[in-house]
Amino acid sequence: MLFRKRQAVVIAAIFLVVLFGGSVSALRSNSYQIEEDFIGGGGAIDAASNSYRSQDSIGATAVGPSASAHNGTQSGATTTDDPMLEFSVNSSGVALGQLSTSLTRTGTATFSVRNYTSYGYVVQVVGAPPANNGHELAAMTSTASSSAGTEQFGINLMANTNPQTFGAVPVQVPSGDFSYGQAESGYNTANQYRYNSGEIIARAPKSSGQTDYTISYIANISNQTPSGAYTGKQTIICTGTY
Amino acid sequence: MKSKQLIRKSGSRLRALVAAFVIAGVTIVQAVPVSAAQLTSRSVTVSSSAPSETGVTYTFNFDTADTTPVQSVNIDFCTTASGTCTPAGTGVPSGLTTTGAAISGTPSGLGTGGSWTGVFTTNGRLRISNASSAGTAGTASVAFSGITNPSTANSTYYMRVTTYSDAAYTTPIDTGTVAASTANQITVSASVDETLTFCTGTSGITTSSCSGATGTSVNLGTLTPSTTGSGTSQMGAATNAGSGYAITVDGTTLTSGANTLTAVDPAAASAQGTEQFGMNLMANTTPAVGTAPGGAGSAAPAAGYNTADSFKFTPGDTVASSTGADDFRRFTVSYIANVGNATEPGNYSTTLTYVCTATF
Repeated sequence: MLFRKRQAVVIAAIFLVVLFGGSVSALRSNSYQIEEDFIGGGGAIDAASNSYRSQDSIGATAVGPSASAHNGTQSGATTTDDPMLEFSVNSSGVALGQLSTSLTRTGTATFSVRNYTSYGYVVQVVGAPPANNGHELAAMTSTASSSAGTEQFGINLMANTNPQTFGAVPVQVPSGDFSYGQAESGYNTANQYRYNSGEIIARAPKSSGQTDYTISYIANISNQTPSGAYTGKQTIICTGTY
Repeated sequence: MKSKQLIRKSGSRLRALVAAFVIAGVTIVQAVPVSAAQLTSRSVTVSSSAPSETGVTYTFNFDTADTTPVQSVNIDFCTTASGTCTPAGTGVPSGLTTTGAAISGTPSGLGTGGSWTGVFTTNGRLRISNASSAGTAGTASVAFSGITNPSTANSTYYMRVTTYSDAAYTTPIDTGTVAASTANQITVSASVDETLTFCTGTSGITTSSCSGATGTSVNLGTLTPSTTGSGTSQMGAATNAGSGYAITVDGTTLTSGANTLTAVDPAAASAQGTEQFGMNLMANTTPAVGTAPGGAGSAAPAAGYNTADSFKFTPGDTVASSTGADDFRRFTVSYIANVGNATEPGNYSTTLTYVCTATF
C-alpha cells in the first residue's frame, strides 16, 4: 500500500513535469515575466499596496497601465503582446505665405501617436528648412524667440502667444490617465522655437494611448533673404521600443 | 520473504512506469511547438517615413534573450504583427521593396568573428548570415539600406525578427516583432518678394537707411592749377536678389559749353596743374575727401574706384556691386577736379546718373 502511494506520487510528479515543463514560455523568469494576462471580469478597479498596484479596465477601448516603483501592468478589454503603433501625420502642407522683414509668419500641422504594449516612443523631425535656389531659411539651431527681420525657421509643439496666438499643447486622448506623450525639451516652451533636422521633438516615456500633437512653425526673413518661392519637406518619424 | 518479493515487484513496476513516462514525456515535450524566447528592447528606426520613399535605411536594435551566438537573422515585413505573412505574397505591405536592400555598416551584438552576408532576393524578407559567428550575443544592431517604403500613407506595418543559432535559418533562438508607420510628409512653403533699396543724395544716408537722404548738388569750388576741387555724394543700396546688384555711373565729365575737363582713365592719383575729373568710393587723404563704405552689407567698390587716393571716371562703369543678396550698404562718392594753366575758364558742371541693377 505504501509503495502504491509512492508510485502515485512519482507518477504525479512526472506528469507535472511533462505537462508544464514544455510550456513555460508565457510565464517565465529571469526574474518573472507575464507576457499577457486576461481577466474576464470582476477585477478590482484599483488595488494597491506600497509595492504592488493593479488597475483593471473592463470594457474600455483603451489599455490602462498601472505601476508601482517596482512593478507594472496593463489591463483592458483587449490586450495583446503584439507591438502596436498608430502614427498619423494629418497635414500634408503648411503655407506660411509671403514672408516679411517686419512680420513673422506662422503655420501649424498636426500628428497623432498611439503606441501601447511598448516601452514608449520617440518622434523625430527630419528634413531641411524651406529653401529656394539653394538658399535655406536659417534653422534655429538654438532655442530662441521669434525675431522679425532676422532670418529664422523654427518649430515647437506648444500653444504660443508670441508672435501671435497659435499652436496647441499636446492633447492626451482620452485623458492623461491613459496617454503620456510630451513635447521634447527645446520644443516644449511656449514662444520659444527651434529646428534641428533629426532631433527628437516628442516622446512618451512609457506605453501610451493617443496623443495629438500640433507643430507650430515660424519663419522670418532679413533684408538679405533671397527672393523666391521657398519649400521644404519635413518627415516625421515615430520609433517605438517594444 | 513475501514482503521482499512485493518490494521487488513494486520496484520493477515502478522502474517500468518511470521508463514508460520518461519515454512518453520525451514524446510529449517534443510535440510541444518550439517556443523561441522574446527579443527585448527591440525597435526599428527608419531614416524616412515618407510613403514610397526610396533608399530608406532601417536600423533594427534589440537585446537577445539568449547569449547563444547568432549565425543568421530573418526579418519579414508584414501588414500584421501576428498570423499569416508570406514574403513575396500576401501580408507584405503594398509598395514595399526590399530586393534592393544591402547591409548598412556592420551588424553588431550578434556574436563575434566572420562576416555577414545578406540575401534579399525575396521581397519583404531580409536575411543575413554568418557561419563563423561565435562568442556571445547581447545588445544587437543591424541596419539595412536601399529599401523602398510601403506606398500607403499613415499606415502601420510590422517586421518580425527571428534569430537563429545556425547559418541556415533552421534553429531559432529568439523572436520579436517591431512596428513602424509611414506618414505624410509635411511640405512647408513660403514666398519672399523681390526687394531693392537704392538711394542717392549728398547727405542724410546712414549706414542702415535711406530715409534721411537729401541733396542733389555737389560744389567742387573754384578750381586753380594749384588747388584740387573735391566734394562728395552718397549712395545706399540693399537687395535680396540672389545674384546681387551692380551700380553704374552715367553722364559726362565736367563741361562748360564746348570745353570739358579730361576724365581720368585709367585710374590715377590727383595731380594739381593737370586737367582731371575723377571719382572713387574710398576714404582719401590726397586730397582728404570721402568715407569708406559702411553698413551691414558686403557690397564693395569696383576696380578703378576701390583704391584710396586713386580716381577714375569712365561713363557706364560699374562703381560698386554685390555678388549676392546684400544688406544695406552706404557708399560715399568722392569727386576730384584739377585744371591746368590752359584750362578754359567757365562754369563747369555735369549731371551724373547712378543706376542700380539687381539680378534676381
